[in-house]
Amino acid sequence: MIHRRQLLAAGAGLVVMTPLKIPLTFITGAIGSAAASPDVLAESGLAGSLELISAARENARAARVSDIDSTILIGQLSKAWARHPRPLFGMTRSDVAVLVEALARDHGMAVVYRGWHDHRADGSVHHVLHGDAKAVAMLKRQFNSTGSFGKILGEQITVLTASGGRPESVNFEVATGRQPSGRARFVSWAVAPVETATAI
Amino acid sequence: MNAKLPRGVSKEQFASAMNAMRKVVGNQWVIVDDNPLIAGYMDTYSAAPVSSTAASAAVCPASVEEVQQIVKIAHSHRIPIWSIATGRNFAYGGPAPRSAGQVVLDLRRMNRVLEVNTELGYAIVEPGVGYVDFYNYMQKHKLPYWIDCAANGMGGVMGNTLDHGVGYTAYGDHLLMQCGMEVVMSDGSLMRTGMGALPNSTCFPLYKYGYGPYIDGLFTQSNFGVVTKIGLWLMPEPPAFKPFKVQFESEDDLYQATELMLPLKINMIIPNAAITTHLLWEASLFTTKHEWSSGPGALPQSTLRRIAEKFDIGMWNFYAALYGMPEVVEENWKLVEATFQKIKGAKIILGEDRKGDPSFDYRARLMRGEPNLTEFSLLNWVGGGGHINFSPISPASGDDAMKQFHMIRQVCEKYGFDYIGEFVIGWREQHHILMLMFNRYDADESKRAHDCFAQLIDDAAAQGYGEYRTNLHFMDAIAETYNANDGALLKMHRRVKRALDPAGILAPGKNGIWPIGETPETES
Ligand SMILES: Cc1cc2nc3c(=O)[nH]c(=O)nc-3n(C[C@H](O)[C@H](O)[C@H](O)COP(=O)(O)OP(=O)(O)OC[C@H]3O[C@@H](n4cnc5c(N)ncnc54)[C@H](O)[C@@H]3O)c2cc1C
Repeated sequence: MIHRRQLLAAGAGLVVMTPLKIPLTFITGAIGSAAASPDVLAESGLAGSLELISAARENARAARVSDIDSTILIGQLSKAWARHPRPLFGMTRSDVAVLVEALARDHGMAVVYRGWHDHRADGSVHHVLHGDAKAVAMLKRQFNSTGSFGKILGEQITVLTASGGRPESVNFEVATGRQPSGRARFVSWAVAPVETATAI
Repeated sequence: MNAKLPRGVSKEQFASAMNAMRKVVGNQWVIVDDNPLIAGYMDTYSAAPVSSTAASAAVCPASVEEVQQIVKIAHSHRIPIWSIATGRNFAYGGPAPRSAGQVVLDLRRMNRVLEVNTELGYAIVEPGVGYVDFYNYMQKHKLPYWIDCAANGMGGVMGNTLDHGVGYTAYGDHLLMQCGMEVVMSDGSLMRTGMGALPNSTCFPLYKYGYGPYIDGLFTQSNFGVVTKIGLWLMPEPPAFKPFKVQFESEDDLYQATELMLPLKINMIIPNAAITTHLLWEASLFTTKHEWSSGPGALPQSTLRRIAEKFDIGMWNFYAALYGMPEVVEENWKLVEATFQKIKGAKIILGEDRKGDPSFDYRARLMRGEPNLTEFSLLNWVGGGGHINFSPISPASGDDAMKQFHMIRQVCEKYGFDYIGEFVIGWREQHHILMLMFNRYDADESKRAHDCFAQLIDDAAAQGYGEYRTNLHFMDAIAETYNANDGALLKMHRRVKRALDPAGILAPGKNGIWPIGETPETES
């Protein structure tokens, strides 16, 4: 008969796979001044992600385009937000958006903006935006007047990560006249800390 | 002022209850519906309108005593409360309650691993212990045991167990490995089950049955109490662990694969909760539907074949692992290899053959209890976030597996959806999981997903198949399929509800169990 202790002792020698590392150090980096300028994260390969990041740099604490391993990202965010929840704007695939939104709840943060972008085969882009009524109305206007929604989102990150305001949804299509490069459907989103204890 | 209120509760009654609850847990931990944080308790990914399950408030106690006081306040004010542990019940409703206006009792702040006994191999945990917390705890303390986690690595030990969830090590049947429970009853009293009812008992997490009727199951998939602690058995880290995959060329191979796998399972040669996944479940790690089609409807067979070839994925893919002493593992491996070699074209794959393959990697991690989130790539197949799981139980026989597969795929295709499914193998049955993915920003697609699910329930029931668990919106429909002997089981559940929670405050409607005087119709 094998003794249980023998099994346990032998088990200690097992090889454990180390997870892949991705350069998202900015998420865990030092916390800046009291002003909560958002971090911005875009997933590589998505149409508009490069424009988003270069437009966001001016107002962001840090902005980066990166491949994302959702396990690692969520692990890093949970550690960082446990110390100091702070606004984060993202343009990613659906899985990352769903996971970040779920994590936000644990850290007293709320989804303050969500945009869904669908590149159609005819070259048009369908957007569904949900957030502060004024902010989404402004985005709709700007998306309609220029094609580069990545750039527009990047310029508006401060507005979009500021919580508050009456949320509203808008649903519209913009003809871009060109085929998308990269993935066809993805999400832009913003989560931010919320002042709690609202009395009724 | 709250826009939403629980059914039949006045504004004054609600405000008074919330104020009383604030005194127990502190202002910050009572979140009412004009606080943006309340949106975090919504189910934004099902096919039905978010408003139909939107909570009126959430309350977050930090101790058993606080839970007791909250339950007493809910009882005296007749406020319905819906318990969540970690609240990541993705595909089944997330953190949302069964119906609009219910107050979420969010137990995530009670997140301590209370005890790990390394001699006897058990742990006692609070509701808010997530898989990652538990895994980190074991690593930090260098304990020679594995945890067992769901593929949703963001979920948690208790919530998953109470909803009859599964993981992938040899301890993958979570409820089977649960032993001992502490429960707050609807009047705020505290009860321990099994050996825990004996004062000073040290056997609480050791012997499940105690004395008299065995009742732990009553507090799972139900609304008879709020569970505040569970004991669970831990799997010793084995000296050898050999994960493997077998790829099958043809969809028809599911028949033989299931037939051949069953004796290996029943004889515990393969001791873990192994799985057989369909092509598209795997493919979503590498590609999206849009890369193959821009039109509506399910992908045709010809495209499935091209995807299989391009990414070297089987039409079915069997994952399992061997555990134990190295010599035994090697001996058993010979048997496993010989078994699957009988299937023409089957490719047997080990870890070293697939270095860097994310699908093999995440499955191997799950089979040794390492939480990860890779499986969420499924959400990128269609994009648009919508996902609901249809989860019937099937006998682990080739005939039944094929019959369910064809039946479900046919219904999916009728409504324009791809079949994205897997079979999780239990002891003698299989949990057949269809992940119905849809674009929830498209109203027509969401409606089709809802209708597709409803038809699946009916078609499965007509063939004698029932689901093991379900999404909030289908709880009544599925409860009603378990209707042998004039609905005797559901009637009994409702009688127990009346006895244990006469005021009907605990999770009304959970799994079709409504309090007296309330029905699904009155609620909707
Ligand atoms: C990509 C993906 C992969 C998944 N993989 C798996 C998998 O491998 N296995 C699996 O089982 N599921 C899986 N799921 C489904 C689900 O996400 C998990 O089961 C998850 O663990 C459930 O969430 P949770 O653990 O946070 O439980 P919770 O959401 O906290 O609880 C679940 C339910 O249990 C009840 N409950 C919780 N706490 C209490 C309490 N204290 N007292 C009384 N009742 C209570 C409530 O009804 C609650 O709604 C998956 C889903 C997705 C989208």
